[in-house]
Amino acid sequence: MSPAISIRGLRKSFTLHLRGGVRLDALRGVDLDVQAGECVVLRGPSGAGKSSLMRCVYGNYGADSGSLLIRDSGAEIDMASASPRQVTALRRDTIGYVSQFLRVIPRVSTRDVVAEPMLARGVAPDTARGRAEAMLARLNIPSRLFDLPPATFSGGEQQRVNIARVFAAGFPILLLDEPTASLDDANRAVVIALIREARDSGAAILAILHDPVAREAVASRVFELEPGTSLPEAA
Amino acid sequence: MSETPILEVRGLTKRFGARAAVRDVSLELWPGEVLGIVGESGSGKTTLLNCLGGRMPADAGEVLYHTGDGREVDMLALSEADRRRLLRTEWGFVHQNPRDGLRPDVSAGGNVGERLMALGQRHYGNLRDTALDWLKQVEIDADRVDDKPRAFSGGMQQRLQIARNLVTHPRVVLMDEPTGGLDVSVQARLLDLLRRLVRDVGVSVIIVTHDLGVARLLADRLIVMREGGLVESGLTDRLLDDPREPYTQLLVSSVLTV
Repeated sequence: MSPAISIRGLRKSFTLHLRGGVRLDALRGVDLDVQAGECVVLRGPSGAGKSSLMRCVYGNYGADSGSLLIRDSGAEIDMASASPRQVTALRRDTIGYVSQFLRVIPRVSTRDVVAEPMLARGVAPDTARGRAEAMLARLNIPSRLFDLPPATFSGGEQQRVNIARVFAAGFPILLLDEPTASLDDANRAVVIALIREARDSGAAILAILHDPVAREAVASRVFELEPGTSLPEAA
Repeated sequence: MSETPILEVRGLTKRFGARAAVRDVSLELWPGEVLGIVGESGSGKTTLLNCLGGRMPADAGEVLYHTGDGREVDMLALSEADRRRLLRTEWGFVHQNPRDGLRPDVSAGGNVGERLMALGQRHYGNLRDTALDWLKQVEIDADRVDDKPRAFSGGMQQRLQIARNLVTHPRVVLMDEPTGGLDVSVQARLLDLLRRLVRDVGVSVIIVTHDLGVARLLADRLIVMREGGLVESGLTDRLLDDPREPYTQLLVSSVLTV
């Protein structure tokens, strides 16, 4: 079977027009395949483009050149040239992304934040909320917090809500950017178990994991990224 | 993916004297999509919306709309009567100032029921039940149904205007800065409500806003306008996180993050 993710010659640079047109090269010709049932961990020093690569796969950053084929129930779609509507459909059905920070939606309860990707696929509201609660409970979010918006939660709690949102829906391709970064040992173990279960049931996973315990526990292999030019700090 | 856009705008131009307020703008709106139009004051975004919504004649271009009964019509070429009928039945328009979209001397329930009556519904009990249901959906207490909108706060008026528009299940809703004049906490409530209603009703929306935070929360795709023209367009998070054009970079970098 063809890889779930197949990247060839991927280049990504940023032209900073407000800084005199300075060009920063983030990715200079990346080739990488990720198979179903495999967890590839990206490694490289800060500024090597790990997060940029992940954001290109998710369509959050636009590629300059190269191809980025995503297998989507039989068909292959090139994320590098996909239309916004194709990207939206891929994100709904195929690619789940755990970013480093939860982007909080005002006033929406934690339960509904987690249920939302399922609701977007047309899962019945009661079923979606039930699955959301089960996943939150597994990640040790107390049920008294389910009705509250996650805006006031601690960093570790928000990160677990972010993880619950993606793992409750289930995706054949998972992009995980430091999913264990601010978790204690007990919660890290839960997240490691979730990643292993997803991998063993056939998900293709691309992960950034600085934590050696988590990396050792889930990585099928490690992919080294060479440092490009340094990237600007996030605005 | 085989479906067609519900709205295709081609080469829309609107001049005020020698100045082109909207210059050769083309865009598509897809079923169930929220399209955001962002840009600073004077960029032409509200003028564009007014031309699309039949509130202002355009000087050139086409606004091709795929009607509920499967026809394709150019909204700009329709007779005034046909255009008005479509706007009243299949389109909605949410004004920045709710007073422009509400009847101040008619009760809240009457404001919601009016568009239904325009569609031929006459049964008072049904109209009132529907109005009460919609007031509940936009979080206005049922005991306010007989009050006039002028007795409502700005946020309540805006929610009433949204109920008045969505009650007929329009296919296209145009919104001009719907959170513009509201306090931040009231804005958040309205944004949450809009997100939910758009998903539940499955309506296609074009929303004009200068607030990139609002755009990020509500829009699937964004169009950036400057001096009447289209600068850049794309998926909302890509346009905001990886802006290409100098003007878009300036717009994004000018936002205070909290």
